[in-house]
Amino acid sequence: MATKEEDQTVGLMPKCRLLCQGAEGRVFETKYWKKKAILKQRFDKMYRHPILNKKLTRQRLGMEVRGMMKARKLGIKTPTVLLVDQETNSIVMEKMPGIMVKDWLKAGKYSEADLDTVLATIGKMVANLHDGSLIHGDLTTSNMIIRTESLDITFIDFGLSFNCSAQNGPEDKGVDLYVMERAFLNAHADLPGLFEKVLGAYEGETSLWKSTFNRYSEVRMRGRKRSMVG
Amino acid sequence: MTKGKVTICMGFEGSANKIGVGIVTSEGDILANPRETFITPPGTGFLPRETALHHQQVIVPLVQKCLKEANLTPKDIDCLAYTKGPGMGAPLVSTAVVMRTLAQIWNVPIVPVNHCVGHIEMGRLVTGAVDPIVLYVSGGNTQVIAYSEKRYRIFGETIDIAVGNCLDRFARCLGLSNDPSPGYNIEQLAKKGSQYIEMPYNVKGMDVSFSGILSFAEDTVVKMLKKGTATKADLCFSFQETIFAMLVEITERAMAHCNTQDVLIVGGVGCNKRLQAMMKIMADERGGVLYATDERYCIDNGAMIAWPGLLAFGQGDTIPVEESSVTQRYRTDDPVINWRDD
Amino acid sequence: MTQAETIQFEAHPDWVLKCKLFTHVTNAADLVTHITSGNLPMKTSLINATLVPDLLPLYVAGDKALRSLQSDKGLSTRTLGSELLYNLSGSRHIRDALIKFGVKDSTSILLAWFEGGKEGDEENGDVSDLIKGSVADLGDLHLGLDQSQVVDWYKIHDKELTNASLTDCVVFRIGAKDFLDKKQK
Repeated sequence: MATKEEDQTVGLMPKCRLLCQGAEGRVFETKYWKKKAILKQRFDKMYRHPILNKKLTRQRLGMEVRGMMKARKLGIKTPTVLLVDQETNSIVMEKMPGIMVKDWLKAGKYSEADLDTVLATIGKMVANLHDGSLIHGDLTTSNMIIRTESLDITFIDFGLSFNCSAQNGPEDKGVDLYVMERAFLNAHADLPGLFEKVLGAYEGETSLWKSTFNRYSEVRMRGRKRSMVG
Repeated sequence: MTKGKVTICMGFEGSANKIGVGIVTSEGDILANPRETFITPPGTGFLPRETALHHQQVIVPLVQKCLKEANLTPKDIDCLAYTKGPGMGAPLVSTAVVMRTLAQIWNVPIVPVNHCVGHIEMGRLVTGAVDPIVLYVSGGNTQVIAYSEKRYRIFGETIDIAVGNCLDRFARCLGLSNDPSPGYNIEQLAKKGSQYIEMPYNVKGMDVSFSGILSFAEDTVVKMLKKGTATKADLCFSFQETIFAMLVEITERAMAHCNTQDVLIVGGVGCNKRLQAMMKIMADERGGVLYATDERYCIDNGAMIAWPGLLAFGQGDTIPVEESSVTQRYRTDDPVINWRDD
Repeated sequence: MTQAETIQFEAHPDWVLKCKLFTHVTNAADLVTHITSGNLPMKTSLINATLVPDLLPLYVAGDKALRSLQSDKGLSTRTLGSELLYNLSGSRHIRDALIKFGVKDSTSILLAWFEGGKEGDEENGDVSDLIKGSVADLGDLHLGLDQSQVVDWYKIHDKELTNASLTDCVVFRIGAKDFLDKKQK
């Protein structure tokens, strides 16, 4: 990995400081009109075929931007996109104050009531996305930012998001929930029962609980029952 | 692990179409590891009954061969390890029956092993990887695994069919041979492909789905071959490029999520050189290391059961013969990994 | 006369965008004639100030215009000045955008002009002299804002405004213009 401390120029943006190398691309901190901003650059993945790479990079860039826009219209907080640069496949966005929900949970500096509030908020937010036919596609606790004082939650990383059709809705939502369940189980094995609370709040908020829940249970069983021969 | 005295374990693996018997020492030396594969005619897959029959026919000579190669007698064996699951019922039972019989004749303790954990521990032993993200890819499994708090946790997996199964079925629609394996033949043919044909690509978080690309292949492949718009080689090439890109991507997602730099690939599909090459590019780019093994250890074998068997034996995790059952479904994250403290 | 505000771009150190706010403008019609007859400097825009909630949208639109200028694709409109207007609109319909964000019968006008770029291109973009009105503090930009028109034009949903400012909603649409659905503008 490149040295974290040194500033570099990404595309036309000077003074970009590498924060982390995510799976989707490099994430830098920079300034945009003197304000702190995040620059997320999807660079070419050399392991994949150039045609596939180009298609995916473009697709994800578009999905991320459109997913955020749609989420905002559904009342979900996301960072404000400031600029999309097609030449370098990068997005400049507002830097959200706060920390990853993953780290917040791991640090454990919260009251039981705060925890319940946060889990309920997450459940409601996901229900709002789903009721608006938007699938996030990567609901992990690293993709949620929390402001520790106000407990406000922001969803990020919409690169795998998409609009589901009426026909595939229950399946897509079921998978989205299953992905989130496993993210909670794996990253927070020491804190059991978190996802159940999220799901409880989801149930209270969504108007499509039955179809989604049935499909989610089915997706779960598929995972549990797969024979795994070999 | 017991200090001082070197212990020796014989491991039995027969959860799918391979039957393997291996002997490993507590120093990590693999003394012998012979195996046999049940190969079916082109266009067909292996069925439980026939596979079990195959295993029953070859297992005893295999045990003898293993002892001979290791230059040991039954008296030298301290414990027997066997695959408890997951896998196909009949072949698992056939293998376990022989193991139980030997355990009673030789009067040695029994250690049950999860097949998936076997692959992981064997991979760690052979490559020296310490705490990598593991991509476990085989005929029945597609999982991205990371160790945390005494368990191998599944971060990503297929939400429908396994990658090996997907490759096998793709080979079947092209009518490729099952000898030595469908995946190997796809790999060889893919080297001659040049044209990249776009195919469905499906990643969901750290999970993948292969049903889309498989039905695309089943619907389209024959048509393209007839029309002459693509060769078998092109199709193998494009198929591999697409599904492997999906696997590398979910592995990278897990690495970013867990903040881990190194990758270990295990399981039968893991010997594919193209998959290894793609994974290496990704790992290099993240400043990490790719650990991979060759067909001796990627493909199911007895040593991969013997080694974790020894690790568990070192913790005193033996079971009486009455409890040495098998189970077709046994998730990677079920067993407690007592021998790891990190 | 009050000094113009100078906007500097992180991505384009050789360029600046200068702007000035005029209120109580009485000669919008003359200005339109001036523009349509092609007499406005290439780097200059005259903007309907009631649609601009803040200078940040102007910054983003300017950044995008300069990026287009340097890219192989080039500008989508004829001049850097009209490109600024076009970008500011967040729309993909150039004609609609120029009409909406142009000065028509405005009494409140934002004058913006680029300075910099290639040497030898010394055309003065400052057309303050043409505008009959009073110069106002740019900090008062929001005072003349027609919020309902902004919400309507950019198709901003009520729910968005619960989590974000009007400026942020506008900026998102300008910055991500090329990737948003056409129907979303």
